[in-house]
Amino acid sequence: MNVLAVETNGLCRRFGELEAVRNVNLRVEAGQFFGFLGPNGAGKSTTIKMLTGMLEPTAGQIRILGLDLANDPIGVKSQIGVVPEGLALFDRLTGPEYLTFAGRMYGLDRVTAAERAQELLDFTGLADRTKSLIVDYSHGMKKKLAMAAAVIHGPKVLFLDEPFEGVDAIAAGTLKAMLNRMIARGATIFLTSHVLEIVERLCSHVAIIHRGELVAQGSIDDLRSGVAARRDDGQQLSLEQIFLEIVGGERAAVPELSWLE
Amino acid sequence: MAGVISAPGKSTQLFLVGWLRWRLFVNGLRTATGKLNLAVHIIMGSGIGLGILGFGVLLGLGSWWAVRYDKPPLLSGELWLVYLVWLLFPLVISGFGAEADPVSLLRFPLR
Repeated sequence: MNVLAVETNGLCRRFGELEAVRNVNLRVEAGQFFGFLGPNGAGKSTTIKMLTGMLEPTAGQIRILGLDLANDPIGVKSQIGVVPEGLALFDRLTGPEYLTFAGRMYGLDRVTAAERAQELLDFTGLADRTKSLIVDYSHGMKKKLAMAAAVIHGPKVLFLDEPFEGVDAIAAGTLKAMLNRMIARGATIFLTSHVLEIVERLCSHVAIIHRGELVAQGSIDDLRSGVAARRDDGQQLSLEQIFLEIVGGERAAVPELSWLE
Repeated sequence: MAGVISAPGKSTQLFLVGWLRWRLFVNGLRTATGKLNLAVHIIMGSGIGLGILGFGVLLGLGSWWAVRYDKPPLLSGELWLVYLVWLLFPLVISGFGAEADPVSLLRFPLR
């Protein structure tokens, strides 16, 4: 039996009275390009923080590549790459300094870290800004740098929180090329995104979280046929239509604004 | 994919965090604002250092005086003063910009 890349059982996270994530059971097979979707405040970022060891779950179990995150956090973190919400870069480093630092923190020796940093800078088109501080980078450049740092050690699972948010088409193309290359080499990618067109184009499988609960999980084709069967109108549904069908039931109830009538 | 690399040892990670702090400090001096900040820190640090030294000398003299002139209850006043200083000291120190947010390091396989 294949070991799952990501597996959670009964995952919960409370913040005081608020139950941000409730009994989430995720199954992501190795090699999948997996999209984790949900409306704002649904619990996507909280879940990804728990999956990457940046936030402790209130209850439940997380296994990454068969390793229990609670028992072996170092083993898990050595095998994953993370682009967190807010990117968590060190603004007063240069791009090469940051990549070398990240590579060495993941266990690369000095020479390998420097070589890979240079290769990544060339690939992401940041090689001509080696003297600039990260604080002076544009948002797209920061995203590319954060992604480069997340893959420098060759992770088996890559977690990306909104990788395409605020990124122009050129930078998005670079990011997509990098992700596709990783998938071709057998890595698993777990990403959250609001840009459903990109998710539909890149991901083979998705899960949808709504108000802290997992409301759908499977291949896009399976979800499409499930929703289509419910609607029974024979229409070919886009991921956006599937998403709205599953979580957007209350959308029709949005009231009119009195001064815009 | 490339083979799994084992996480570096504690000493290497400590060295790297030290290197990170050093680079943040050095790169911070590349701007006029950074240089000005350093000058302000040096002046304020020297002032605070002298203040702490003077405070220590005064406490010592006060203690000597209380014992010499047989007024031991005054020592409790001094101890309360030391207690208050230790309460305030961390607040003052925290004002000296912590640029490397340790939370940013959580995603690495820290030992």
